[in-house]
Amino acid sequence: MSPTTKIFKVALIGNPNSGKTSLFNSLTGLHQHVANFPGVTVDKKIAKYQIDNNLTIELIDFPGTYSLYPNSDDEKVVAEILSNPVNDDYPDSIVYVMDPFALKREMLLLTQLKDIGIPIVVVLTMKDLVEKRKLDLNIKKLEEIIGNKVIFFSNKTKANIDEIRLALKQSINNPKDNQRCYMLNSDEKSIVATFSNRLNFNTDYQALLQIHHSDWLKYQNKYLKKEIKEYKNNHDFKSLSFQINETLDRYGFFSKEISKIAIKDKTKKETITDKIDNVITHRVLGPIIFFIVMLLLFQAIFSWAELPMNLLESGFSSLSTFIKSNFAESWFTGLLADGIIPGLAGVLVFIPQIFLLFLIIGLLEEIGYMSRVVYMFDDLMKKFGMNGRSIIALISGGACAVPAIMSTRTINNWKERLITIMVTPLISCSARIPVYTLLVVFAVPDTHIGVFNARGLVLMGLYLLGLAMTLVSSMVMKYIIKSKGRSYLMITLPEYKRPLIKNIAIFVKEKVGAFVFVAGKIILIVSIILWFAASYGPSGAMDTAEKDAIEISTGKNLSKEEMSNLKASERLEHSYIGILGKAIEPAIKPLGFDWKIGIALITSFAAREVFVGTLATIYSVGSTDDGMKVSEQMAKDINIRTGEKTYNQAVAWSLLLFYVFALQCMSTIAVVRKETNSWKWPIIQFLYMGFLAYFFSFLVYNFLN
Amino acid sequence: MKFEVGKSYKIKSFNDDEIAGKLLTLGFLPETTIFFTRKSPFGGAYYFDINGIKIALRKEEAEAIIAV
Ligand SMILES: Nc1nc2c(ncn2[C@@H]2O[C@H](COP(=O)(O)OP(=O)(O)O)[C@@H](O)[C@H]2O)c(=O)[nH]1
Repeated sequence: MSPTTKIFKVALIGNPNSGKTSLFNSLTGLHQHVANFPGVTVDKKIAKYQIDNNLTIELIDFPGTYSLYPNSDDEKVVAEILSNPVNDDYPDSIVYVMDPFALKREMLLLTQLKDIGIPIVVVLTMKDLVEKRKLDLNIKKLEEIIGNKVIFFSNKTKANIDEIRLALKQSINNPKDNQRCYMLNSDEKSIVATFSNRLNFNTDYQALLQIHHSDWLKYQNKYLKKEIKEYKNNHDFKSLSFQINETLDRYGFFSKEISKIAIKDKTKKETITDKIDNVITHRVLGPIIFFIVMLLLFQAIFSWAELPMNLLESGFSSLSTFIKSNFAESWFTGLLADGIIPGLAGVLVFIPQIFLLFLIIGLLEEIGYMSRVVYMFDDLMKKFGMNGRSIIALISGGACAVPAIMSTRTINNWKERLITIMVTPLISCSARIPVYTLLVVFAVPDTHIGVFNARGLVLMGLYLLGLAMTLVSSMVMKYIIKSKGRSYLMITLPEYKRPLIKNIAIFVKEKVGAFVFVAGKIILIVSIILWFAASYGPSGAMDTAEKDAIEISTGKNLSKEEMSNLKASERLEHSYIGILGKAIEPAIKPLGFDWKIGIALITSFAAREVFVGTLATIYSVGSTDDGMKVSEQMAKDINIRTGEKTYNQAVAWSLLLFYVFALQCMSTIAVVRKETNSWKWPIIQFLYMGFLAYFFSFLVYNFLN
Repeated sequence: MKFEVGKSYKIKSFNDDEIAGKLLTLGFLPETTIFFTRKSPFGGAYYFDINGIKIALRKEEAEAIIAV
C-alpha cells in the first residue's frame, strides 16, 4: 500500500448492551489494541480490518451511548467526534449496532446519526436468540421503515459475516447519504445561521450540536464559546428544552411503525430474566447471594492461584541462580539476576490471581450480573461518596490496586470516580499477604481462640481494618472534594444471557495485558534503580565492608555459604541504600523501626512483597525468599542499644499497621497519576495514606511498649 | 412523585429538565407504561420494567417522573 493511500475509518456505534463489543470482537478477533481517545481516559479500541485484498479499514469501537446528548465522559467522546468533521477520528462510515429487543429506543440515536450525514450500515445482533425463541421480526419491514439495509447477524454463529464485509465495502466505495430526519425549528435555524461561518460542519445538525454542547466541546475556542453563550442568553435560547423537544420529535418519527413490528411485549408473561431477578435482586436474598459470590471469588483468587504462583516464583528464582552460576560475574549479571529478574518476578507472580479475578468478573459481567450489583449497592456506596460501579473497583483491589483503579473508568461522575481511586489502595491487596504472614508470627503467639487460630484471626482483622479505613476515608473525602456536575445511576439491567466465551477471553487478555504493562514498566525501572543503590556505595566503603566480612568469617570459621551471606549483608549496609536507610532512621524510630527495616521500607516501594526479600538479604540468609528462615533470623536479631529483641511484639504490630495503610507501591502511584491526569492526586493519596500509617504505627508501638 | 412497588404507571411528564433529557434517551417517554418491580436492598434505587426492558434509577431520578 502506498503511503498516500487513505485509511478509511469505520466507527462502531450503538446503545450500551446492543452487542457492539461482541460485533467488534467477531469482526476483528484478537488483533485489536486499546488506546485512549485524545485528552480523556476513555478506552478506544482499534483494529485493522481487511475487507479484501484492496481494502483495509480501521475499525474503531466507540463508547456505547443512547444519544448524542451525553451523560458521561464516555458518551461525550461520541458527540465530540461526530459533531466535528475535522476530528482525526471522524469516521468515513458508521456501523450502527442494534439489539432487536430494544428497537424503539435505538431509533433515537439512529435518526441522530442520519442527520450527521455519514453513511450508515445497520447491523441487528442476536439473530440466534430471536430464532431460538421462535420470535417474529420482519426485517424487510424494518428496512422499509428506517430506509436502510439491515443485516441481521449473530455474534454466536457469525454465519453471515460476509454480508457485513460487503456492506462495509459498498459504503466506502459508493457512499450513500441518508435521508435527514429532524427539521430544525426557527430558533435553532437562526442560531445556526448566525454562527455558520464560524463553525466547521457538514450538516445543519452538526452545527446545532456544536452550539448545544458549546460549553464542553474541546475543539471550540473560548471566544466562540463566549459569543455562543451570550447569544443564548440574549435570545433566550434554552438548549435543554430544545434538546427535549428534539428527542420527542425523533421518537415520534418511527415509533408508531416500529411498535407494529417490534418483538411483542412480554410484560404480561414472566420471562426467565424476571424469574432470576426475583431471587438475585431480592431485597434480602440479593445481598446474601452477593456475599456468597464474593466469598467464592476470593476463594478462587487465593487458592486456585497458589500453585501457578509458586511455580512462577520458583521458576524465576532458579533462573536467577542459573544466570549467576553460569555466567561470569559482572555488574550486568548482578543487575539481571538480583535486580531485574526478581523485580519482574514480583509483578509476574500476580498474573494468575489477576487472570482469575478478571476471568470471574468478566464472566459475571457477560451474564449480566454486574449491573445488578451496581443497582443493589448504589445507594449504599453513595453514602460513602461513591457509586454502585465503585464496588467492582473495590473488589478488584483485593487482588491488586492497579487494575482496580483502571476499572473506575466506567464511573461517570468525576467526584465519585476520584474518591474510588483515592481509597481503593487501602483495601489489602495480595502483595501485602507475604508481609502480613511474615510479621504476624512476631505479633501474635501461635494459640487458638476457640476453634480459630489466633494468627488467622489477626490476618482477617487486618483485612477488615483496611476495609473500614476505606469507608471512613471515602466518607471524609465526600465532604472535602468538590463535585463537578450531578451524578446519575440510570442503568439498564440487560437480559441474562449465556456468555460468549470469546468476549470473556478478549476482556481478560486486555486487563491482564494492561496490568503487566503498567506495573511491569514501573517495577522494571524501580528495580534497576534499587539494584544500583543496593550494589554501590561511596567509594571504598563497600570494599572495606567486604574485607571486614571476610575477616570475621575466617575468624569465626564460617562456611563458604555463610561467608557469602555475611558479605552480602555487610555490603548492603554500606551501600547507598543502606546509607539512606540509616538516614531515615530518626524519622521511623518513633515507630520502633531501625535502619534495617528502613531499607526494607524503601525497597518495598517497588512492590510491597519485596520487603520480605530485602530482610532476607539484610539478615544474611542469602537470596532465599523462604519466610520461615527469615523469621528465624529476625527472631534472633538483638537491638544493640537496648539489648532487647528488635522484633518484639510492639515492632511487629507497628509494621503490620504500617503496611495496612501506607501507599508502598510505585505502580499504584503511576496508575493514579495516569488516570487522574495530574500529580496532585497521587501526591495527596501518598501523603494521607502515609499519615494514617505513621499515626497508627506510632500509636500501637507506644501503646504496646 | 412517589411510586409504589408492584404497580404500573403511565408517564405524563417530568419535573426536572436535566433528568428528563436523560430519561427520554433511555425510553421513559410520555404515554409509556412503566412497572415498578422492586426497591434495592437499602431502598435508594428503583427497578423499573418498560415493555420488558429493565432499568434501575435512583430514587431522586424516579421522583422526577410525573405519572398516573
Ligand atoms: N446470543 C447472543 N448474545 C449476544 C450477541 N451479541 C451480543 N450478545 C450478548 O449481549 C450482551 C451485550 O453484548 P456486548 O457486546 O457486551 O454489548 P455492548 O455493551 O453493546 O458492547 C453480552 O452478554 C453478549 O454476550 C449475539 O449475537 N447472540
